[in-house]
Amino acid sequence: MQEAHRVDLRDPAASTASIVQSAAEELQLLKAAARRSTWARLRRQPPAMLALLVVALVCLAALAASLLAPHDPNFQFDAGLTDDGTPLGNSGQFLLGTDTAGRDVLSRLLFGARISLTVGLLSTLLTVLIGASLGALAAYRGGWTERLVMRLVDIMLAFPVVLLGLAASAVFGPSLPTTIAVIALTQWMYMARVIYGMVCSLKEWEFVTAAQAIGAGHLRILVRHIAPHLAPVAIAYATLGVGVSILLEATLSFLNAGVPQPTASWGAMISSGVTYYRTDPQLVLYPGLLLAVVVLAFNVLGDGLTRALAHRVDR
Amino acid sequence: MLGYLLRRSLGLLVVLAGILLITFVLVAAIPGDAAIYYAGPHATAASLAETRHTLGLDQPRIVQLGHYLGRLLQGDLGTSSSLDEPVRTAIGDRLPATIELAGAVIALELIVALIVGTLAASQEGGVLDRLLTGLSALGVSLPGFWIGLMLLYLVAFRLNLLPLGGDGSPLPEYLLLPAITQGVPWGFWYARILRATLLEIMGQDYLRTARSKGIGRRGVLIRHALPNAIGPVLTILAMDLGQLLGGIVVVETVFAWPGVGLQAAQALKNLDTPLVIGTLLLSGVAIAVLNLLADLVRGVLDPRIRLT
Repeated sequence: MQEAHRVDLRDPAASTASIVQSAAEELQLLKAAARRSTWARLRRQPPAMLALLVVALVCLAALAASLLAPHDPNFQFDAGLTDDGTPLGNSGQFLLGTDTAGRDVLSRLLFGARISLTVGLLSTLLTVLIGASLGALAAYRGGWTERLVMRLVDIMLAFPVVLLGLAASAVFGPSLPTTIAVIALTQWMYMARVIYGMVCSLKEWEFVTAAQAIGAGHLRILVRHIAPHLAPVAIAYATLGVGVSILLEATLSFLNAGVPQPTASWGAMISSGVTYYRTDPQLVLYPGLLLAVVVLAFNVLGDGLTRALAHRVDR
Repeated sequence: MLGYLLRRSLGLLVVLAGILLITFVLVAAIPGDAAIYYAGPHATAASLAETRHTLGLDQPRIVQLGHYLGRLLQGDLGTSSSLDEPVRTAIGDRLPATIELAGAVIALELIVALIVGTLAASQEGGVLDRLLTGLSALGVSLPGFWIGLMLLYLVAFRLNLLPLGGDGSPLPEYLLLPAITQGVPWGFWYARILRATLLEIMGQDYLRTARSKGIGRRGVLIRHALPNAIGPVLTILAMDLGQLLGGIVVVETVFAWPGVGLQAAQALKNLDTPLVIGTLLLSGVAIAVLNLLADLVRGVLDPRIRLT
């Protein structure tokens, strides 16, 4: 079917429309092949595949938290504390024990995965949107746009994320949207730099000149012609960014500047367990281990993706 | 060199202006009356009205920004509502402890990076090399506050080897765990960067010449490659200052280390917004200035870098 109207691109007699069409088909085929080989390359990396499995499991657990959790994560059980008012250890009713307020730890861990992934994914999405568009714009437009954006990058790089998070939480009050905004506003610069570098070299390519020559607008060139080349790198960096964002959310929540109580967040769980870390170290241990595993999984997956996509990036 | 210095200083001014603008936006966004914030918690109605007048709060925002900058230039960062003293004094009192801790962390990072990075590069692909790749990935994936709490539990509480936080005498005993919490994981990270830089340098011609003269691989690595590989690591270290400071806020909180970061975290709990924003402002300025200094020092130390 596709072979039917395929024409030789070098044939001077071929009509412009047919050349454009077969070039587009060629590109589709190349893309499919590249996608297959990226997946194949990823599959040859056992650590990355393990990481992918962990990420998939955590996503499932977060989605099905209300089905999997044995109890309401915020319910303070009367029987959830000892007579002295200290947390309970493992038991049939509370599989991983209870926390300092008599709430079920396992249920809170499951619902905490929701918060971690929500913050991780949403703030990374914002990071990519802000970083990629500013980075690409700066590189493509050059001139004062470039100077302005790159100076903004410098300014934001000088801000310690954690302290900015504390200040934002002091001014606007701790909340989920504030946390996501703080993370996105302090992480986009890294994405912007990468994209900036790529667009700087991409815009010199002939296909951009060709697009300009046939009268394509700047926006069209950026979105239709340049953006597809950026996507693989953006995806790999975004995967790494999810890990970083999850870690930041936990850190801010640990400092009471992130997701407010009583919402179950792994960082906040560690924060409230701190007072009891000597007698009940499990309150700190469990959420911390989960955090470490999830963040490590995103980092390893991101590294694996970078490696698998490396052959597609011409730099 | 002079032209470079001038241009970089100009750039620094722009960055500083940006930092001031962002903190001004934060101050302006504080809900309620900013006069209450500046007059302190014990203000009367009369002193409030007076403060409002001196602050010019009925003026347009742009005039207010001018006033804000004017006060900052005089070193006035506002009054801490929980400590009832100028923010400047509060931060100044806690600064030595934070500098102590930051110094210890950076020293430890460099020691770990130098030893582990050089060893890993000297046996590329060996057991230690592969271990380093794993450890450096783990180090930046583990939350710092969790590492700190686990060390507190195991080393200080269970084994009773070191104090349970705070500061006291002898200082090294109190400084050791906080410094390890942050210095070792990040040390592994820099070790990985040093390793990569070393291996890249090892492939260059002048090192092949040195090898061909009969100097062993390890000798070449330490005597010839290492001095040239430290520069890039120091540059990345300087670029990571913001993250270093963020980590120190966390470590100070975990170990009750009486520094600027612990103070800011407590200020948040006490709704002491001026102190939190003051800490943010000063640390942003410090990081921007230190970054410029690091660049200059690198240019002086490494004659191959020409600052133009």
